[in-house]
Amino acid sequence: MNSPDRLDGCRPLAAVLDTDRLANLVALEDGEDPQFLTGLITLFLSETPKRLAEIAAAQAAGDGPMLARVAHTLKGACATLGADELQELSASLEACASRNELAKLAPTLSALDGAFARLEEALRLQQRRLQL
Amino acid sequence: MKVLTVEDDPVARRVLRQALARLGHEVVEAANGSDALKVLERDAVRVVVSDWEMPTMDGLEFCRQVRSRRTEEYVYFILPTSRTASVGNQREAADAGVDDFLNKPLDVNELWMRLRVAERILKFATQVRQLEAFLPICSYCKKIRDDQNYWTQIESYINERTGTDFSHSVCPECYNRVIMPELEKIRAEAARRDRNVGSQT
Repeated sequence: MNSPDRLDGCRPLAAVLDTDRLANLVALEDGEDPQFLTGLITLFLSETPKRLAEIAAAQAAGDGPMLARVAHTLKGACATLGADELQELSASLEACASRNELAKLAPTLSALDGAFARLEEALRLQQRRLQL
Repeated sequence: MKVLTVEDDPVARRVLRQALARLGHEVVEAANGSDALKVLERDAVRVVVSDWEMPTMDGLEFCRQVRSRRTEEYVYFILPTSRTASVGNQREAADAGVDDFLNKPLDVNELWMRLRVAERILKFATQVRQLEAFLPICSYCKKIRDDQNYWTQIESYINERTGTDFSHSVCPECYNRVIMPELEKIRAEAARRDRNVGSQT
């Protein structure tokens, strides 16, 4: 049985959302696009389920390179918004998939949906605050 | 400046577009290297900010393709990389023709700095290209016609564009062709005056 410490660095320790990172993005709002950040969150919430589906499909097909590529893209999007927990999971997936160690991915893959659900809740809360 | 962003992740692409627009740049976008090459064919892009890992054609292959194109204007290539990118990765990128790197996730102040450097280098690149290009020069007086259609001395033309100062001297060929006959003329004139003075006394 895999204990958390034996998951090849896959165990997430990070916060669901780094709100400081998100706050930095507010500085990008301007008169032409005052809703930039809420729009960006909406974009992230619509794109991420597609990445998660692509990861599941790559895993089912045993396609390590594809899984690594999609995990890399998801990792970048998470880093942009400060989605630390999902970023760490994506980084672990990318690392394992790059080494084609697909058998080690199961615990991380099973943690993805829960992490995304927590992140979605945190991001929707931020969206409501931004719209006040 | 017109900046081309190449990024497969729509979230990162959106942030990059917003940051560049806030810094006053015109932005064109592509989702991979292959599409980006098509954009370069139709748009006069001076700076590219391209991700490394992308489907269809990755950032380094795209950069190699950019460098292999025969175009008049130099394209400045910036590659965003994660802070954990190894020195080996960066050297591989530099060998492919990448000019500069940006940390990911994007920091707007860092982006501003990189683009300032890009602007300065592109200005020099344009000046060098203008100097290397054909210059209209008068066959007789050797004045050069500048961008504003004014005829100007070659020394001022080069000085204005490169800061080079000229120290004037005479080459041996011109010394024999121009200076020596002038000296002979002066000496002959002086001898003629001396003879005239002698005959009057």
